[in-house]
Amino acid sequence: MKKMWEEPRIQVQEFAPNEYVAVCWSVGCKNDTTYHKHKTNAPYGSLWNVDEGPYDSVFSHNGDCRNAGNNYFRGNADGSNLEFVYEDSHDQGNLSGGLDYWYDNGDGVVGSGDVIYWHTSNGSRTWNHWGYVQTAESAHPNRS
Amino acid sequence: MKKFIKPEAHFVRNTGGLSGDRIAELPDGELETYFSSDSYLKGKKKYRIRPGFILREIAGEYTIIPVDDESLISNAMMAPNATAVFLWKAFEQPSTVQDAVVRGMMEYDVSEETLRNAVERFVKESMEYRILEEVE
Repeated sequence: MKKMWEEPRIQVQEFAPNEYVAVCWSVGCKNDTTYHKHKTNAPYGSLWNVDEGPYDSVFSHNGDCRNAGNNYFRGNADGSNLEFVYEDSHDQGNLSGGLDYWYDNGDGVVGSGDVIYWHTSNGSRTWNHWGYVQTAESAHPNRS
Repeated sequence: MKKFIKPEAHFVRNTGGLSGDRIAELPDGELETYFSSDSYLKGKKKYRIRPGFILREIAGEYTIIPVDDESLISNAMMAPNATAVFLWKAFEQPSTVQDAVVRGMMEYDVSEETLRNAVERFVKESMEYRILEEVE
């Protein structure tokens, strides 16, 4: 028995990302603000959009922000739509915040050699962070 | 020594209005003229799906994936219906429009005119999107 004929049609479905690809690099905080004293060892000076503080008690960057695995960023490899998502702070839960500056090493790609400035907040205190980008997979700097 | 050419036989629509018997009786010169008409030469054209497209069947559904950067359709997938898949497969090997029409007539319950119109549209649009290419 022959099949029924219908008008041939080819539907083109364009790929449209509905979320940003998880980044394949990580950043651990290198800031050395401690206790009540504001100072920074950031290589390109103060590039944060918000002030750190208040320095009303012990203030340190020796905690979870040091561990790159606790800091969640997302964005595209070319730095577009780059944003800080949250810090997984073991004693304070997830800390929200924002990305303040991406200092590119000149190659136009987020990767080793770049510096990222970001901040976190628990609602009453704000921490300013900076760190060197560490590429997770050196053979695939743009993807995992 | 002759160069070996892969044997191929194709259907070409007889557009000159003469019956097969009449064509067979034509003298060589007239036969040559008959087969030199624009419509006959157009019917002899063979088309093939360009390299750079992969047709995959996944759970009964077909998907065409462009894998060539030069394709006009990129960053996309194509979802053909059943008859488009049939035509796609028909043109995976160099084929004339009439080849596809003959194959379609054997497989589908459809008039020759409807089928030919559909095949000609498929060829025209696929050429525009650089999905098909004309081959010698």
